[in-house]
Amino acid sequence: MEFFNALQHVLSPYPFLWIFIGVAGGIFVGAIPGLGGGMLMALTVPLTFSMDSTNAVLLLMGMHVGSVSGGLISATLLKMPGTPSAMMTTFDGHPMAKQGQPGKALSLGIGASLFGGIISGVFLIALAPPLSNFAHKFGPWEYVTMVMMAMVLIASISQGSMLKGLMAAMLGLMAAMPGLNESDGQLRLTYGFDSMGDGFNLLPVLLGIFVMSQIIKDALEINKKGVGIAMSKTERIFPKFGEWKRHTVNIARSSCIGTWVGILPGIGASISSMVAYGIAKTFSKNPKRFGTGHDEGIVAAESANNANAGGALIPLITIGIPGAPVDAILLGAMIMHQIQPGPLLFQTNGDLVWSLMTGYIVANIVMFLIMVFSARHLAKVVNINRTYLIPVVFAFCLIGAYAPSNRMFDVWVVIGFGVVGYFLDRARFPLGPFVIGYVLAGIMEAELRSGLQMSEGSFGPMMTRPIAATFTVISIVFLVYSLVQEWRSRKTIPTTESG
Amino acid sequence: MIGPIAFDRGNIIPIMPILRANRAFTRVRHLPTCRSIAFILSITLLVASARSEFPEKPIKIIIPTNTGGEVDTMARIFQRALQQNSIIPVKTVILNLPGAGGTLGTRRLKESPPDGYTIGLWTPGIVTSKTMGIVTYDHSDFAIIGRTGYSELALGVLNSSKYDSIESLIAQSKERPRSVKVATNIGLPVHLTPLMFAEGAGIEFNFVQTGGGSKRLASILGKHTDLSLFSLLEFIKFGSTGLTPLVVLSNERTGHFPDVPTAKELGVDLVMNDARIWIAPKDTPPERIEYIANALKSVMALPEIIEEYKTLGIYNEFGEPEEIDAFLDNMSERVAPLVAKARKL
Repeated sequence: MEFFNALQHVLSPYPFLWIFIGVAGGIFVGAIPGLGGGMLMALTVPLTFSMDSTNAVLLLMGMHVGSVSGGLISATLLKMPGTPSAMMTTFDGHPMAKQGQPGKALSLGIGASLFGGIISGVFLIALAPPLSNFAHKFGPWEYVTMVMMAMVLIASISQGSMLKGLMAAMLGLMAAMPGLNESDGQLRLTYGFDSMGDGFNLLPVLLGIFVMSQIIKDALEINKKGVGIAMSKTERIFPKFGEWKRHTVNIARSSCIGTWVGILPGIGASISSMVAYGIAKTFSKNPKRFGTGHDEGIVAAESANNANAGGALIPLITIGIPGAPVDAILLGAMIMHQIQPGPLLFQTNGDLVWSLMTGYIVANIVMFLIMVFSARHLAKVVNINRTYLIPVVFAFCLIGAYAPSNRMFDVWVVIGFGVVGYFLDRARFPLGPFVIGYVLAGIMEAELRSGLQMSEGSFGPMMTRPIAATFTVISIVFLVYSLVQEWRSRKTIPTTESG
Repeated sequence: MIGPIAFDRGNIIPIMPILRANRAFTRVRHLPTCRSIAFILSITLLVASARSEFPEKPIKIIIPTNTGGEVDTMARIFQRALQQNSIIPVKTVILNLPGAGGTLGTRRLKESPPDGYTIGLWTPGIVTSKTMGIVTYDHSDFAIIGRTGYSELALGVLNSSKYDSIESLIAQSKERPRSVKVATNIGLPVHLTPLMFAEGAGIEFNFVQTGGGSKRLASILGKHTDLSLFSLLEFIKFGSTGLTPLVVLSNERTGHFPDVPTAKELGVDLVMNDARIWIAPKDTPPERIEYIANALKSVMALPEIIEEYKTLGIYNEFGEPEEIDAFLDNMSERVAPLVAKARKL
């Protein structure tokens, strides 16, 4: 059987060594806020020219898997997502760590990552062609309604004031507006600055809002003794899988969502964890506890973003379409190794495809083992004196912003949004909705306008296309439901106050 | 036409190093010996650099797309070949500057020192960005090094679509204007080329923004849109998914698809190909341009590159600057009258 042949190949010394190096390197850069897998892969591609093509692909794929997972470490311990996809992990991972359970938070994240990876790996091996065909059914209207559903589901994600959450989301939406508007090919809100031609990019905005704002906050409070997160020696990191039974549904659901969003081209891993988090919250018995260090939140976010990596490989190997920007790098590397990705890849380079698919599962297991056994050492990072830690993170943050587009403008964006984030945080505006608004606004607008171009201005397809209609109905039902809930709780509060 | 007022922000970046250099200088001034040594050293260096030949430091290649894009991959194939065969004595560095339809990259190239150490690789998009009013410069503001091959283009549909030939598509389109949905990337050649075809054929398309190449393909495969512009290679590569060319935009019918007519046969005067054009800042010395052009030509003559071009479906034919200039001028002239239409959508 091909699977076992490929497994045998992948576990032989050299390919396995490359996977191991890739995963370890990926975890390392993933854990550093600012540096990410895409950057590492782009820098590595020229070094693989002299390597065997299968080994090169395994190395790059390992880096991707590692970096997606590594981000959870800094998200949990420092409240700084190491990679954009770890953003949702900060919401529950960090509060849990702060409450004195950093080991449990890490162990939940690592375990969920493993399951997410394996589940999407199974989809990759067993169902790649049909899933990829089905993904084509997703057109602009399906995207719009799906994102709309995600928005409704996570509308109440913020703790505290709902109004402030909405205001933060609107500000995030505004941050997504400037730049070249692809839907009509014209520049918008650039105020004559050439550098604004591409607007504010995802990575610099995210680094600014989450990481730089935290750096500013820490730097200003450097003399105050912070609440240290201490990990006791006895706290175990290796997940107690016996206790995971109650997460089964959550993991399965979040991994399916992650895989599916991964298959859809042009939607990032951060959106998969947003959708999974929103749905997990909706179906949870304790939705109120989300955002306060709830285990279900960590599990949903981390299984979804790892599953996303596997899902994104599906269109890559079945038709040669990258499911995510990092897969475009993988695709480019294949072409440079004289492999033509496309619908015939299975026939022309079957061995490579099988190695890639089995390698993906192996990479996830390697990731799990490395993370479990190194988490205790990595966790020491929180004990490092902030005076030393802040400058290092600051430097990496700026390098990470500069590198992907090689321009200084992105560095200013990080600093600018850092200041914005700092003041928003001081005024008790939640930062999550800001970034969610920013991320979802871009894709929502682009897809909605494409849809309207297709339908010549009619919103009808939202209800006439079956998949889109399903999403629309769910959104409306949930919106009404949450408004009713809100209204009821408002009605009860005054009575308790008066009584 | 006057474009939007542009503030030049490029000056902000070098301020820091200049400040530091000044400080170093004031410190050195107190030590006369150091100064004279530095003077002698710099003179020696100057003489040495005047004597030595171009190139003596790494050459930067600006790519206005992300890593992994089609243009980027092309540049990296050249980088690999230059590196492995030691065609030039220095390394090449690829600098990705994606964003705003490639204009962030082309602008950086335009503002780079014209010394031959910064070059770029881009597409005829250099023309359309100006006509769409995003930037105020086009190919005439650069020194063109040459074109390393080209691929033929065709407009095509999914074979299960209701359009089985270009004639039936034109006829149905005349009956019901804007009924054919074209997947495109607004403002780029992939938008303006089908628009030129529609103008020539006297029909009107409904352009739908879908984005880059893979998203256009996904949109066609999912039957969300009907027609799109692809290179012949893409039609060959994705043939198994049902993607079929209806009309090719070359001078003659191609060997791969002998039954598919050319636009010319239909009375539409449109010959267009997808070129990868190497450019340099405007006043780059001609001998350095020639040096780089020769290096590119030697890469194209390598047996493995000839083989690779075949699999990539690219014609291995170097285009001299004059030829490219004329091609882009012609494109610019033809696109200009369509701008109003292109912007209106």
